[in-house]
Amino acid sequence: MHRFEYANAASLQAAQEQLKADGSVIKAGGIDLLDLLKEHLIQPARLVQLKSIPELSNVHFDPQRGLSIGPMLTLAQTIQHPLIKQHTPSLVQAAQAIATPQIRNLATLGGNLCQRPRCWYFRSEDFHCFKKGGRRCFAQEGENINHAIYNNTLCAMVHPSGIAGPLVALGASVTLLKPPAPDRRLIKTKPLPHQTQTLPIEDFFTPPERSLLRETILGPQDILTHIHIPPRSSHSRDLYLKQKHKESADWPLAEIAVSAEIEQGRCKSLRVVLGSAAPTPWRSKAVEDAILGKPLDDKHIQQAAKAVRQDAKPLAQNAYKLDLFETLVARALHALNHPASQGRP
Amino acid sequence: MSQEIKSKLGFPGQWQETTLRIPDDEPPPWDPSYKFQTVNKAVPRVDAFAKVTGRATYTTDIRKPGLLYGRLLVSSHPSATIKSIDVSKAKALTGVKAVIALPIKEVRFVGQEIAAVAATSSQIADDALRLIKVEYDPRPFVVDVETARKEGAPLVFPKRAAQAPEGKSANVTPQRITKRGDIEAGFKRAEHILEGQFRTQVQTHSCLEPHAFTAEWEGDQLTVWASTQSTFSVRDELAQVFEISPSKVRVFSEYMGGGFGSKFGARASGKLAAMLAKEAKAPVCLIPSRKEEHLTHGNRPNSVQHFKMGVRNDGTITAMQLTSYGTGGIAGGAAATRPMLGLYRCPNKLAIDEDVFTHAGPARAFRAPGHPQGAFSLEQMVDMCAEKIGMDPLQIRLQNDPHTVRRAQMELGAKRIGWDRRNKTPGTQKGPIMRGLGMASSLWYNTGSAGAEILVKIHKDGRVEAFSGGQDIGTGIRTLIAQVVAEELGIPLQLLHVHIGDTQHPYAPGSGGSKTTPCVTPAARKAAFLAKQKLFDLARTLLKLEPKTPMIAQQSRIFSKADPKMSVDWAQLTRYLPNGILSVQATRAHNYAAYNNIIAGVQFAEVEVDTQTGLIRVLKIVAVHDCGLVLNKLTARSQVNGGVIQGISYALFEDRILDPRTGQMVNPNFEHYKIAGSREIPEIDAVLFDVYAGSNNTHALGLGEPTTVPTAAAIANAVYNATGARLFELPMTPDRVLKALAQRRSPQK
Ligand SMILES: Cc1cc2nc3c(=O)[nH]c(=O)nc-3n(C[C@H](O)[C@H](O)[C@H](O)COP(=O)(O)OP(=O)(O)OC[C@H]3O[C@@H](n4cnc5c(N)ncnc54)[C@H](O)[C@@H]3O)c2cc1C
Repeated sequence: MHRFEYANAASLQAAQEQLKADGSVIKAGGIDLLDLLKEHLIQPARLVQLKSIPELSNVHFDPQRGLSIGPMLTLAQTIQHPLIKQHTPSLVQAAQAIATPQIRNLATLGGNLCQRPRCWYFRSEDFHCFKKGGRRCFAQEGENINHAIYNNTLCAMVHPSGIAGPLVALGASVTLLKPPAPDRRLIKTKPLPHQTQTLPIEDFFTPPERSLLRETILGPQDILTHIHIPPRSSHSRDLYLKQKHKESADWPLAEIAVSAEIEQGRCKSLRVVLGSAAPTPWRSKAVEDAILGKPLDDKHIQQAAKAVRQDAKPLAQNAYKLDLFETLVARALHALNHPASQGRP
Repeated sequence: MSQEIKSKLGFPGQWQETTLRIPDDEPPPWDPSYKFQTVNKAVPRVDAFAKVTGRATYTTDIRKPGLLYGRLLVSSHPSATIKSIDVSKAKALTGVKAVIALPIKEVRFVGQEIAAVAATSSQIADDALRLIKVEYDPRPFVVDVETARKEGAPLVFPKRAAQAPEGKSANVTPQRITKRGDIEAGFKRAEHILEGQFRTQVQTHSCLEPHAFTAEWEGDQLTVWASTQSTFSVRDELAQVFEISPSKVRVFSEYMGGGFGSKFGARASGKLAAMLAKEAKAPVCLIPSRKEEHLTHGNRPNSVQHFKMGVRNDGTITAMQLTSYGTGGIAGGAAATRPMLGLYRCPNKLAIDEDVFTHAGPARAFRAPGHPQGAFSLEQMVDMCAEKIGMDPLQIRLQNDPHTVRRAQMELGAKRIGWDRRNKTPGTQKGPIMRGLGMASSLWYNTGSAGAEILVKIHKDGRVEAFSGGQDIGTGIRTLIAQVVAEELGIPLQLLHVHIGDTQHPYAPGSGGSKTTPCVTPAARKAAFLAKQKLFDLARTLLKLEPKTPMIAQQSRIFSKADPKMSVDWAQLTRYLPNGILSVQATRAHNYAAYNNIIAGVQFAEVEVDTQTGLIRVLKIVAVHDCGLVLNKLTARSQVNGGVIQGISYALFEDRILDPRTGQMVNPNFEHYKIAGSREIPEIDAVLFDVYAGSNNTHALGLGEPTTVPTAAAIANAVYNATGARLFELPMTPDRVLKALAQRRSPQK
């Protein structure tokens, strides 16, 4: 493994200073970084450890502004957190379904959102694919059983984050701390302040057609500092379902996150987000449109579930995912109205 | 020289009196009326505490002063000529103590060993590998078995070009053909002929402990710590490579973490560890990476099997024909025909198989080579026949299976799983979750043979040591030796100390073919038996009994059979040992005329299938197996558990996936090479079936391998019983299950 310097950041300011040097990379739990390092996919000069900044794992709730979560909260802490449990069960369900207890004890929400794809071609040094500056996507004509069925013509990766789906469904936004804009002043008095940017999480993730080399809008020195989840009404429901091949520590074949406002057995508003489906968390407008305002009965649910097939272009080996998504949509919509079913068949 | 004895062999309900001819100095096999003290009980492993506390030292734990870390450089091309290897930069790196480039000109698979380095840390060794420049001249390659068979396919061994079978590529070996009876007549007699095309995947051994070697030279004396299933084969191979006497090579393997057939001999990593150590003049520990384990250190070949079976309405199977091929990469060994040749009375059989070479890592023997593949097709065909004639799958097996042990096992297993609960009409439950039951049989062979030796030393403090040079592949031989010696001497297990895994101890064979227990325990019993005769002499002298007075050793006492009061304690007696020690070494005798030389076995599976997601959950496996006399009920149950777990993993998850366009393995890890984890393991009801087999003095036969044979087939039959959809391909992944279900709904597609 490549050698690097390891720096504990005492504060956000310190972290920003430490990130200035070329080749500096943020480290959260280090789960994803370690795999990338071991396969020589990254060669950072310095890792800047953010775990030492306590405020980055704060959680608090405000009835007007909703839930604010620090990105350094570990998946294990997320599962346990009373406020998160109370306001956004889907986030807990998603965190719970990830990897193993050991990994959940280290892995953070922020790291989970920013992790690199798990495509086996991307993850192997032996394949120089688009995402590494190469000239092809090996999955298109290769082994693509785990790959994307939507928006897959350029790069067929699926977005790896299980946390992303619920956040998109919940209409979350994120705040980034960015280095100051280039200083164009003639007379430089005080240094320019750092800037913050808050944006809907959907805009945080970038599809391959926007950038092949990364999956988020994060610049090299940007720090994700907050995750905001808007307040929810008493009619709101949210849930997350994950279909794995293997129950023990497996990546999903298909995931779904749904958030809705239910009134009289109908969805007044609804977001359906499919995971392990596309290079970004995939909002299925087709499903949303098909069920919005309709009764959540078997007939309408079946119809809506079929809508996952719209826009899908499965590759040679992954058409089965359509069946899985159709099933997950049906189970999730049913569970909106019958929470006790928990999405089980 | 030898004596004839009458022996009661078999199992309850099936006893038979057999005359055995055994050597004069051998104890007769235990009689069924004998009351065991230690053997045939559930005895925890004597080394369990050391293992669970981390005190047991595995090869990867060996630390020596000045130890260097070895790493391998393996080919990144599936087929290429090596134009040059430049190691100068690697050699110049600080901390690198040795670099060896193998004199190879061609590489034939991704993962083939090319060079190795040893350095003061594994990081430096890693860096050094990346400084070795290999210039490849890539050549065409083929990793897919179908493409490799076609005329004009790139050849794995161009020298074989002239040997191409008619219309096929020279990657295909000549057909092996086995004929029994008259296959044509068999099909003529049949009232129904069923056919099926089955496929199984490549499975890698995935031993948790890699194929690790630590080597150290002192002058021309080589000491090696090896994660091996055959200490003596490592010794002999290294002696040959370095042209030194085997007496100059000492191999240790006190504990090892899994072999499954892939850990015989020194092979490239063992040789390279010793070569590096020689060059560096320091001990070297070479541990292959997980990726190299998958690529290079063995696998179970895949198979493509075309099965044809004839059956009469009364259930008689009249003909079986299997045509199969498969690839073990650059090695052979893909035959899947043994189960169909060995199981069922059917007199007319035809088995044809061929190996296909591909540019992939070599197959190695893997837990019951060929059997899980062969059982997967055979046992589904039997179920298909049963369904065709409207017969219960249990019934058709009972009717066609001549093996008394297996028939009894079937009846027992059917009761334990509740076979009556199976669906009379598959695929008719409301769903989406459907449940079903299935079964499948296995066979294995008596692989016990003469030659293993054990040295027993009885000390004056009453403690007893036993020595065997062999290794424990995980079956618990250390414990079994202790049990057998303790049983024979009539003393508690706590007095025993067993030493294994050192080639300076007496010879033991490699642990392959499920032979360790049947080879080693009879030697242990014999050594203890012969030592006991000497103790009897000593006891008679002390007790002033006539020579030849019949004596018994039991519960730490030696006493006269006729007058138990004439008795001396074990502790007291051993104090009188001349010179304070009694040493006896004995050799395992040849096999006797056994009750059965074919080991049976049958498994029943209960599964649940989510017909909307294609997910199979195994709820329960009832596994009924025999291994002659069960010497230890706990270690035997562990073998059954392990075999079933590996069988489930093979059935549902494991798959070595090679990218056809690059020849690279896309899942050389444990993340995408999926292995059943704790949540995938169902209730396993391991039912051990004692048979007084009589082929040696402990009645032991093997068990390790057959336990993994029928699992996948039983699960496939259960999936069919649940859903009415048959899975012809392994692993049974959700996409395949969904496809089979769709096929069932609209068969025209
Ligand atoms: C066996 C296994 C199974 C897994 N299964 C799943 C699964 O099913 N679903 C799933 O979602 N995940 C899964 N994971 C992935 C795991 O959840 C992620 O690797 C983990 O969440 C990453 O978090 P981390 O804190 O360790 O991130 P790190 O490895 O520390 O960082 C990951 C990336 O995020 C960047 N980063 C981290 N924090 C910030 C920040 N505040 N601002 C800007 N950039 C930042 C880092 O620079 C780095 O590029 C699995 C992992 C393993 C090993």
